Amino acid sequence: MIFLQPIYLIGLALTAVPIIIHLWFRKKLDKIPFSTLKFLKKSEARRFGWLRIREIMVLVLRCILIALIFLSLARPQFKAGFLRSGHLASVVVIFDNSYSMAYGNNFEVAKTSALKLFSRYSSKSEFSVLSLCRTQGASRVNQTSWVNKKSAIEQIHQINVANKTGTIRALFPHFVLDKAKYPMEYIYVGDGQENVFADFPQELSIEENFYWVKIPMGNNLGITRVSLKDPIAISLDNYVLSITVKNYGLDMWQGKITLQAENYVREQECEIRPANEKILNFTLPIALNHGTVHLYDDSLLPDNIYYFSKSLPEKMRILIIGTARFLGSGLNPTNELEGPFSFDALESIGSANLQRYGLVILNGIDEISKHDKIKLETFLMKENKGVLCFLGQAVGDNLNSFINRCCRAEEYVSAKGYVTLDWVNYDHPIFEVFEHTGVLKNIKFHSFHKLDARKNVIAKLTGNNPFIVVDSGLSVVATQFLPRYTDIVYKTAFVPLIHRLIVNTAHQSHDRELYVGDQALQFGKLKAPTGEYILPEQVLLKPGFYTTAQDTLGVNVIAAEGNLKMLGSKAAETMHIEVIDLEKDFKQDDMSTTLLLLALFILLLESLLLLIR
Amino acid sequence: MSISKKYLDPEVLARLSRLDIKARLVVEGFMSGLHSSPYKGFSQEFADYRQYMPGDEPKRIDWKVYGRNDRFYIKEYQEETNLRCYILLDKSGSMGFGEKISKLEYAKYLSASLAYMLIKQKDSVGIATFDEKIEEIIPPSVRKSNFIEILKIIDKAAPSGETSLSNMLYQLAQKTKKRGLIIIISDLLDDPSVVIKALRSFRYRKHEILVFHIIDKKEYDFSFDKAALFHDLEDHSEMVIEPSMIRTSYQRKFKNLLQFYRQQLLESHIDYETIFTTTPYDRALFSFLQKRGRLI
Repeated sequence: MIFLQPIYLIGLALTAVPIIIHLWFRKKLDKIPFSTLKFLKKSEARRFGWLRIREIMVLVLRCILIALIFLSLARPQFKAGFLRSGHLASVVVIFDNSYSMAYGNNFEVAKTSALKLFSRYSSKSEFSVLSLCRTQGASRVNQTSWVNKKSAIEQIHQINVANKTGTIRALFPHFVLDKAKYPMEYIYVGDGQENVFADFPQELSIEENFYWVKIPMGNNLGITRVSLKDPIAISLDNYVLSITVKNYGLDMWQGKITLQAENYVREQECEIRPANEKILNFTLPIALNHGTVHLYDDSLLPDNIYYFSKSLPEKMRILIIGTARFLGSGLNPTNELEGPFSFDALESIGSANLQRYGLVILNGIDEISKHDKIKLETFLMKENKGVLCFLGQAVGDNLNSFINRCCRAEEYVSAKGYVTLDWVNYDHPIFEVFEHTGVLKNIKFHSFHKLDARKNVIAKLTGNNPFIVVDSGLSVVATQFLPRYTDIVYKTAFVPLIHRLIVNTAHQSHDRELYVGDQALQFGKLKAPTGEYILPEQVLLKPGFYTTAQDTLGVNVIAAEGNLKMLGSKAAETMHIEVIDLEKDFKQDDMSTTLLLLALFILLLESLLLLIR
Repeated sequence: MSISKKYLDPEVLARLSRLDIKARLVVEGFMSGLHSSPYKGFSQEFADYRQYMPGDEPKRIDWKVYGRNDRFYIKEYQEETNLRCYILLDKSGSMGFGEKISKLEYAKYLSASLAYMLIKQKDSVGIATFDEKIEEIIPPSVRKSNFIEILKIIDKAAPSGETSLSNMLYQLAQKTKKRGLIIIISDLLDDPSVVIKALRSFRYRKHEILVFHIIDKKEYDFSFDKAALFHDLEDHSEMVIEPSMIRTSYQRKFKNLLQFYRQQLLESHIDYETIFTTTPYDRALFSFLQKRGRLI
């Protein structure tokens, strides 16, 4: 048994007070001479016996009452379950300092729980304290040997919230596993998000000595995704921001989602069933390039604000081999809006330095030389480089050989009339934006190459003919985007499709999602929302808008941290993790309430005794 | 209140020192309030003239004196009776109890007053003080010197020992062959059934018995207000008592005791009078006179 407030034990000395008072009053009692007690003795003999017993009983009860009150104030803890007091062990404490722990007073609760936990161990026990995530300016793992309880407590006090997440798997190599004097125990103190336990080390599962001290958390609703529906691809007048909100709670949620960008404010009300998500679309003027989406009425703050920003991707240099007539206009559709691409057009690769370009477009050329083929293959071996091939009327052997890892061009088909797109994989990033838009309907294709696809076909023409086949760094389109082959050049889908084909082939994304904990190497010096400047090698610490010389970047908390999903009890069981609700555990063990109730009972008993005549 | 009457108040009387004076004052105070003369009898011997007072019988007016002085005088006679009276004064430890005056003090004044009254009436009066046994005894006599002796014994009586009325009565029975009046002044704190049995045995011997049961008010209502260590004046045992807790029960049982005495003694034709130490003496003296009246 331990006492959380042992100072109150001094009060136990006060149990002597009733005895002293009793003796004092007995001494001070008036002596009254009375004619005879014979009569009283005779008539009240039994009664006096009872009164005397009652007097002693009341005295004893009063002593017990005082003792119980002070014992209760001393908060005795009796442990019979998870850890008995004076437990001797070598303990690895994994303290969760991920961003989600910053919710409410969770972090302080976790620290208090950890300290309570230490109180259960013998002072001879040894500890190794590890924070789940590295914090700015401090090593995440600063423990390579065992320390005593006092040092472990100090280390717990020094841990700060890390603004990102981590996993036990990542931490595992740093565990002090050898030279343990006592039986090993692993204790994770945290909110227990699923991702923390991702790829949970098997070694920890086997021994069944891994405990999770559960830190309670509030209800959980979160913005899981905010995606810009390609500001370039869709109409130039406006663009759509798609917001996905998930209800992680157990009850139906009804509330407002507010989008705010400068003076532009829009609200939408929605209902979300438990464990479901809902997508809300906000149409924004093109001029708005950043703003925030607010989710009110939720207790979990990190994911209640999403900072979105749209801006053009970094300029990509493109080399067009073949005609650039229509394709060039698709790359830079307006004079007013400077497109994200710059391009050069050549008849053949020849002596062109491909390394200057991000993407090479083979636009309707019949053949390439062997030398060009080697150059292209070498080009593709580099990171973030791609070749986009629009097949013309003829496909030579070298060209066919080059695209062979993706597909093989067979006969050239001139359709009677036209064919249309028969099937499109809208899950693919190229077509994702077109889902529900209908812009891909009724695009006519008059001639195309039949393709023997070996890799991912993401679109098919009527007659089950592959239209676009993609592979890493290489995309093949069955026809050229020229008016005599297709009317797509006059359709809305033309520019977005070209853009997405380029970006996806070269593995470059319009999305520039930045999260807390990332390093913004490609942006140079950034100005943080707090006003300070972040150097490229520094990590982003807080969510908000960071600004460069030309641009504004939204930095958010990653979904895994923002949208808490606790490890389920079944999953924990499978991993042999014993879940400890320390608050409940302590409540059960906290004898204070029981002692107070007992004191009340004693008081009642005393009153009853005094009432009996 | 007239000066003579105020001495009927036990508290006032207690302030006086000499017992004979106390006795005289009580009796005279008592007598002056009577409407009819208590002195009646046959074998009368002239003693003195006394001015006629309302309440006296007109036939007792001496008309010869009236003829000479034009004033009403009546002749007073010394009554000659053959009444033998024993005053039995309980001096046991319990009689020492009393709030303002003790039961024994009250009993002593009452005894002296009765003795004085009896002597004045030329009755034979004797006294016995007792606790567990007879402590001192003076046989009945009409001599005035006897009264002095009686007062000495009364004065000497101090509370001690336990009450054993029955034992004392058995002793006394052997000493009193002639029938007479037995006045018992006691708190009767003995076994009631044994006391009744002893008194009845006396009654069988044709003795007239008058019992003055002396009670202190606190003894009756147990009106102590706080817990105290009670000391038994007879056996000197002690007990811590919270009066509020036992008061009701005590009062009930004490009343039952009084009721028992009253009923049993009535059945045995024994006069019984409960006298509180706050009760003026005239009530006791009235009882005595009534009893005497019946005897003569």
